[in-house]
Amino acid sequence: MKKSKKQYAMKSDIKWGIIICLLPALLIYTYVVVVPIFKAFYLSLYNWSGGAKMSFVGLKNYSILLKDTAFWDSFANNIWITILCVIGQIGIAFIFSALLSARFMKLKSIHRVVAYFPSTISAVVVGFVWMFIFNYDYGLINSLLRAVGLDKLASAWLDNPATIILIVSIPLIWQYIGYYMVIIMAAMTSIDTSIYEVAEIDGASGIQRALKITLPLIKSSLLVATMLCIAGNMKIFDHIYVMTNGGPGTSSMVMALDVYKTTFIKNRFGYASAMSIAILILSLLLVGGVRLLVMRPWKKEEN
Amino acid sequence: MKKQIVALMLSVVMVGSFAGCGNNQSVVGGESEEPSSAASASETEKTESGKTEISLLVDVSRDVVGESGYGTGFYTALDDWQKAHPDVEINIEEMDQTSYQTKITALGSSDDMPDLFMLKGSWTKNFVDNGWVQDITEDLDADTQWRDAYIEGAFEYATQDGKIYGVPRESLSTGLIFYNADMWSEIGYDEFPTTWDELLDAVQKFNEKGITAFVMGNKPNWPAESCWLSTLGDRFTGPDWTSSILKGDGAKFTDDTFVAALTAFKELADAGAFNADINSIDDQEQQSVYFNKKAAAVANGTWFIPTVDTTAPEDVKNATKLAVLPSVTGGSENQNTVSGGCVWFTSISNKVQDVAKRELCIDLLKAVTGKQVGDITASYGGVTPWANPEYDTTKVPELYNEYLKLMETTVNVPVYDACMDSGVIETMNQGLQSLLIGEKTPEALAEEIQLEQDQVVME
Repeated sequence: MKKSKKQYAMKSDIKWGIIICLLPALLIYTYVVVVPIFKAFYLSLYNWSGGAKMSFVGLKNYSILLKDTAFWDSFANNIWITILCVIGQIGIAFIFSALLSARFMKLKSIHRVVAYFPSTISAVVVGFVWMFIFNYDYGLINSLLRAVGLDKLASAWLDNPATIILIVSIPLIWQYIGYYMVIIMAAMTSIDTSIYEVAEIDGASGIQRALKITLPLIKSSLLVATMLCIAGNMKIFDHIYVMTNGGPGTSSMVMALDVYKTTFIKNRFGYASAMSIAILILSLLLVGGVRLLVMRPWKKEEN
Repeated sequence: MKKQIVALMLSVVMVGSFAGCGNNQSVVGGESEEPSSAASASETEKTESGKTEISLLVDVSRDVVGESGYGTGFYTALDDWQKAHPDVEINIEEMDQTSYQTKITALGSSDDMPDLFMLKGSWTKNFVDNGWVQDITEDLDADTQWRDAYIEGAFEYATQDGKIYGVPRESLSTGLIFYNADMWSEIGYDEFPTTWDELLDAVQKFNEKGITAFVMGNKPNWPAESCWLSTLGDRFTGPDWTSSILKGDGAKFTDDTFVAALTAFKELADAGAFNADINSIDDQEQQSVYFNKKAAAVANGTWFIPTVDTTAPEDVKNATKLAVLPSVTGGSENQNTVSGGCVWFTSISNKVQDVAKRELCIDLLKAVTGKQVGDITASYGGVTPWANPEYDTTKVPELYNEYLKLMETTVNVPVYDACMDSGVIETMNQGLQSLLIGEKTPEALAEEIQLEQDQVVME
């Protein structure tokens, strides 16, 4: 009896310790994330151009938003970019990780550093660099094409609305491969090597080992990477702002850029707040939806 | 609370990252847009040393001193004023125009306006409605010498309900054609075409030679509208239509005349008049294309005159001549027009209410918009709203004199982005990018713009 009381007291001490340690982080998080969300929702109910004059319009901003084709087009662009990035970033990162954990690979740490390097650069710098690479007159790609006599293939890469989404996704994919590689490699190293040894003895080829052993065993890490990738791509802004500014026309417009323009160029702060809330809801739905699809909780019940 | 609002909104944009895993991998460039240090200046009337502090936010960089006429004039006047007022501490922040536009709106919405700032004509209504800018009509009336020294109509876009909110700083023409006369005479045009058909013919001849007729760097998306459509639109609609749009009493963007202007613009683009990378290079890069003789002409504003003079290669500089867009058939009465006027103004924040400080601000405003600035601007070949600047006419760029001669017969018509609602302008600008690459029909674009305009009128 005495002992358990002591234990209980100790537990409660630890509990308080944890709460006190978490409190600063929690307070900051509330201040910079939770409060702004509520504030944005509050603002989204107003017609407001940034100054003293605010008029309450209820949910009118949202009803306009539902019919705002420009916003939904940019949402569609976000989705396309997300799909391309999930395939490109995580797919390539998986291949790289598999190669880097292979035994025949030399100079592993250099490869790792080089692959991770782009993730450390500012997105604006990446945007500028790729803007020069894609440039029509003196860009790297066109210069190379012209040098080998393929003048006909040289084109104004950032000017074709049909392919612009693919083009602007390339720098995004390039930049973040290293980031996902780190996550996937960490997961891979946690796999017991004896499993591979057994598989090797059984005669499984490298590709078979990657697909049938590695992939299922790092599924949860891949899921985390996918979530990060979706969440990250719902808020892309800088690359596109620098490279195309949403153009030509609105063909590479994404939601965050649309919000920025609505706020600071069109001066419609209230409506832009409604758009921000919509982005939040859409992102949550998307992340939740994908989680549900991958986890398949209904399937587990059957088991 | 208001101070945080902008930060809040940008944070919300970023919030997607917190959704799944609470990992904040922030790539949104929100931080740079937040109101920063300059703002705090306006809150304290006196600094620790007992000096009065005046904060300024401008879109003119000190780097242009010695190149741009207005920039040189502004900083010379500012420095002189500072010397004469050692008891005042001037806190100035400079940035480029695109960033300026974002920053001033952010400062306004967080109630942190700098004491003196630059006002664009199209912002006047919004800034006045929000109480960000101060009525200076009385101060101008009290000093008629100052008020009447400017050219006619100079205050127009800074005037709201008969009250004046800013003093003009530059007078511009935005839709001038700078053309390389040597290149045009090679295809048989000793003069710039005077009719639209001739223009299309010339474009074809340039295409055959593999030369771009007109280079346009429309990535920032205002050049197509500011340097082309404002003038071309007027060719078809006439100025009455524009003023009716501004008043909101009848004219519509879907009117046949405006659609005709868009159609003509699209036809010119379809004929191959512009560079292939029209929407991915900017207005700086377009200069080098013209200077390298890869393009025969460029539509640009008067700010380009000193640039040609200082940076163009000698042969291009000597061959460059000025013209206005050719006339169109079935258009408005006066075909000899160019978009222009006073677009930017210097204004005082509504927060400056302290009598002594206000007096200082007005005095500084007078200094940076006065005769000295006008004279210096003109001497560099910049166009000043100061009606009779004194300068050495033999030392200004040759193009400037040519411009003045051109303007003796040419009438200024409104620049769209100087007077129309900024939401309407953004829709127009984005749409023009699509129009010029054949992604949008003139009719569809006209409707989109009108839809945005309807919202403005409703408000």
